[in-house]
Amino acid sequence: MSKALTVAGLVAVLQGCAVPATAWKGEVPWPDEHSTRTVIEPMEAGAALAAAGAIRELVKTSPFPNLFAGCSSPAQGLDVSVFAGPAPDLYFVVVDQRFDRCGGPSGRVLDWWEVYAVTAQGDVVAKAPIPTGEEPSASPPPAAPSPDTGVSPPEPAVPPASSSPAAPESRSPASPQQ
Amino acid sequence: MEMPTGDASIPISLLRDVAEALLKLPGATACDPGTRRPIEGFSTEYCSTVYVAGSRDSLSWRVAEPVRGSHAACRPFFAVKDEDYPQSQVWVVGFVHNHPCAAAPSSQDLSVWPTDAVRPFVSMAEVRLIPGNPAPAVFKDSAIEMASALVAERQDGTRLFLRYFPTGEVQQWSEARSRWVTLGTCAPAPTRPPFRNVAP
Repeated sequence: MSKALTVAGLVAVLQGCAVPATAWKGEVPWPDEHSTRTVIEPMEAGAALAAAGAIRELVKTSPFPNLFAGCSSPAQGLDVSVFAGPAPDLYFVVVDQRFDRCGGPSGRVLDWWEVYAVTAQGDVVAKAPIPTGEEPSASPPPAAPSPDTGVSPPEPAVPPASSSPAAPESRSPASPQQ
Repeated sequence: MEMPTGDASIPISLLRDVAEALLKLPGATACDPGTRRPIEGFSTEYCSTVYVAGSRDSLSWRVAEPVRGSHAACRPFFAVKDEDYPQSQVWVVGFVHNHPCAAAPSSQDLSVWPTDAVRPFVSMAEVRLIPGNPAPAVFKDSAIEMASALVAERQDGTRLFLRYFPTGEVQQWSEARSRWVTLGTCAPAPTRPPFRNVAP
C-alpha cells in the first residue's frame, strides 16, 4: 500500500514537472481559404529566425516598464521587417511600434524603434545606433524652408518622415486593425 | 498659461516656457559635436504631455511634469491629472519633447498621438483633429487642435521650435516673422535601409 502511495506521489510530482501543452487552449481553429490571410510569403527561413531573434532582443532590453501593457504578448504590439545586405546569412531587422493591436494608440514612445543586425540563426550581433543629424537621407526631410521664411532648419534626421504632400506614404491601410 | 487668441494650437509662449525648463535639465542639449549624434548614457530626451484645461470661456494651456527618457527616446504619459480641473475638463492635446542634437521629428514622433481616432497610419485626414474627452476642447467658438511639439538647442545656441499635427503638417516658429511657418506635410514612413550608421 505504502509502495503504491509512493508511486502515486512520484507520478504526481513528475506530472507537476512536465511542461503542459497550454501554449494554446481549446480547439485549434484550422483556417479554410476564406478565413486565412497570408502573413509571410514563402521566403528564406533564416530571415524568420533573424526576425525572432531581434524581437526577443528588443523585448529583453526594452527600458520602458509596462510598455507592453494590454498586449497578449509583447510581439502583439510590434511590427517587424527584415532586409538582406551584401553578406549572406546576415539580416537587418527593423522592429517598430504597433500598439494599436493591444488597444489604444499605435505609438507609445517618442523616437523609438530598433534596427538590429542578426544572423540567419537568430543571433543578434549589432544594434544600429540612432541616426546622426549630419548625413542627408535618401528620402528628404520636411521641405527646406525658402530663404524668405526667416527660419533656419532643424538638423536633418535620418531616417526622417518622408515628405509627401499628396497621398501619404503610410503603412498599408490594409494592415489589420485588431 | 491662459489661452492666447487667434491660434487654436500649441502657442509659442507655452513652448518658450517649456523649452526654458526642459532644455536646462541634465543632458537635454548634450550632443556629440563630432558625430552630431546623442551620447548614450549622457544625452537625454525629456517629454511632457500637453493639455488644455478649463471651460469654453476660460481655457488654459498646460504641460505635465516632464518624463526623463533615454538618450534617444521618451515615453510620455497619455493621461494627466490636473490639480484644478476634473478629468471632464482636461483634454490631452499632444506631447512636447526635446532632441539633444536638434534633429527633425522622426517618423515615430509623427506617429505618437493621444488617441488613434485619427489613425495616423491610415487616414492622414486633411482636417486637423480635435481632442475628444468625449466632448471636444472648445475655446470660445474655435476647437482646439491636436498638436505636438519639439524644442531643441542648435550648436550655435539658438532655439528651435517645431510643432506638428496629426495631418503631418510640420511648422517651425520664425523669430524674424513672429509667426509659424509651414515646412511641409510629412507622413510616417516605414524604416528601411540605408542604415548608414550600423556599428561594426
